[in-house]
Amino acid sequence: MATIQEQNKARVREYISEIINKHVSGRFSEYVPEDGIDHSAPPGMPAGSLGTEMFFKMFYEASSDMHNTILSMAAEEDKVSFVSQVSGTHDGVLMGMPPTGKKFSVTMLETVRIVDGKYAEHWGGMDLYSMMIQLGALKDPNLKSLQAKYPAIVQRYIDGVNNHDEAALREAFAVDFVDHNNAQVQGLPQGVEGVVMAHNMLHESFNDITFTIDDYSIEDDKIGIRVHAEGTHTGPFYGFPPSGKKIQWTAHRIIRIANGQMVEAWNEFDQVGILQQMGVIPSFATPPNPEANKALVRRLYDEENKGNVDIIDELMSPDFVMHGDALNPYQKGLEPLKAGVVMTKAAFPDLVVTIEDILAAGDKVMVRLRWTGTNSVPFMGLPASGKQMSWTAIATNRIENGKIVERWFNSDVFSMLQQLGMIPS
Amino acid sequence: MSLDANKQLIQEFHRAVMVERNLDAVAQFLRDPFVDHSAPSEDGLASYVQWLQTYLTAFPDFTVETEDFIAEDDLVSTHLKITGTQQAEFLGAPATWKPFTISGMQLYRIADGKISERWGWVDVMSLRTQLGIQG
Repeated sequence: MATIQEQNKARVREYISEIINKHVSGRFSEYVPEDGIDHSAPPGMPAGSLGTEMFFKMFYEASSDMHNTILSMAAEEDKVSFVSQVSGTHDGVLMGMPPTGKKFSVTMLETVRIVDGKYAEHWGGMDLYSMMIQLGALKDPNLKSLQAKYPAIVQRYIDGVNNHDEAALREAFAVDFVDHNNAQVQGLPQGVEGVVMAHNMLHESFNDITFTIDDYSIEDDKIGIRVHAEGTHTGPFYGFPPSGKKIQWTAHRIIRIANGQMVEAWNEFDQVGILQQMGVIPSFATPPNPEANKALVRRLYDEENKGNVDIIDELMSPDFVMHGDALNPYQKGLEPLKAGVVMTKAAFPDLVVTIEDILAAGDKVMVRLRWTGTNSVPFMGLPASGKQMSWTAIATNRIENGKIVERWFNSDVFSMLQQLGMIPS
Repeated sequence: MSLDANKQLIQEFHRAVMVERNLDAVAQFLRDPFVDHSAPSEDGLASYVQWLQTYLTAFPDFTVETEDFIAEDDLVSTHLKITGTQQAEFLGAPATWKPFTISGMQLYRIADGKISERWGWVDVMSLRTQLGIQG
């Protein structure tokens, strides 16, 4: 004959396994008397089996897979205390909150006094507050300190990829991680196993793969990252045999973090760009037109000779980048360039630039230039010399969509300064 | 240890940390390692002290009545009746100066005469309602 404590514990286990975990509704009165007292029930909740039924029906509706697992139990006299883990998916309405599809897992602590196999009294309850945080209905008060750890968690994942370190991936990703773009690679399972498999495949395709985080943003429980990747195509990728080519691509990933791990992610990466670089699908970009590019560069200098500074806005991109030298240091945008043209033209009113050579290939045009003019106005802090001067430069211009977007420039600054008398001949 | 000794340990622990508010005494009651299931972290002791400090700071007048003990094997559970007034920031909400009474429950596991594990439940939802904390 089992002791009354053993019988009571068995009764609690039976109630949880046969009623709660099977989501049975009509049998609460077998375990909770009509006049049972719940010392921890919210105000307004009916007493006894009716209140219990209301409480659990609400959870049956909110979560079709809600499950209670008893962790530990202690019984003394007519009471049983126990702690359990309540887990499930929020796939139904919970207290007016529409389904979020999010998973929850919270503890529940209870003490019951059992009389004739029924819960005569009840104390304790479920950690509803943590559940609300997990479902995103309430803000986590510790969010700021948790968010401070997000970049390190994500870096652990990136290090795991770069070092082909499976242990790091298993640390960064939750066991039940959900990849919303899992279908990008067919046949991959969900969870951390799928992540490990995907990265093993990636290392087979690109054995020297490296990812770099270029930018990130954090809000609530999510971190978004912008990354770029590079690697040599050393193994099959999407069934295409290794090409040996160096491939580069960009990607974005938005990751939700819970309990210090990545729990779900949405991913976009430049698959088409990768396949184009491998040469297996054609490029969408219009092929470069070296003749048109040469005409564009010629027109730029022709118009400058006519004093038309506005041609710079017409033929050059506002995002222009100058990789220059001492005369034209690194610059972004067009304003410094225009100011330079205006200033030089002011000092040398008869200034003419001549293209002495022009070579075009791909999206680049290289030009050899000579400027000639009379220094009739003070220049660079020196009085006007009245002398005719001449200097040269060679520049490479890169053209994109009919505009110069980038320029590499070397000029004969040394000779120019000598002619000005700023350094000895 | 007998069940009575275990209950007495918890009673002394509650008196030292929740009544006398002697946070320095926490370490002498907790086993190393101590696992706080309700505030999981690598350092269970630190997270327990932090949890307690949050309540002591927000509710300097808080009182805890330990209402019942149930013990079996190495487990001891208690119900708590907690009262207080919110006098500082709590859960991101500034002081409301409102009083509250809530219930709570603690379950401890004891090993070698010290507390080795804790699970806790405090009716935070009711606390929020009584203090009028929104969102």
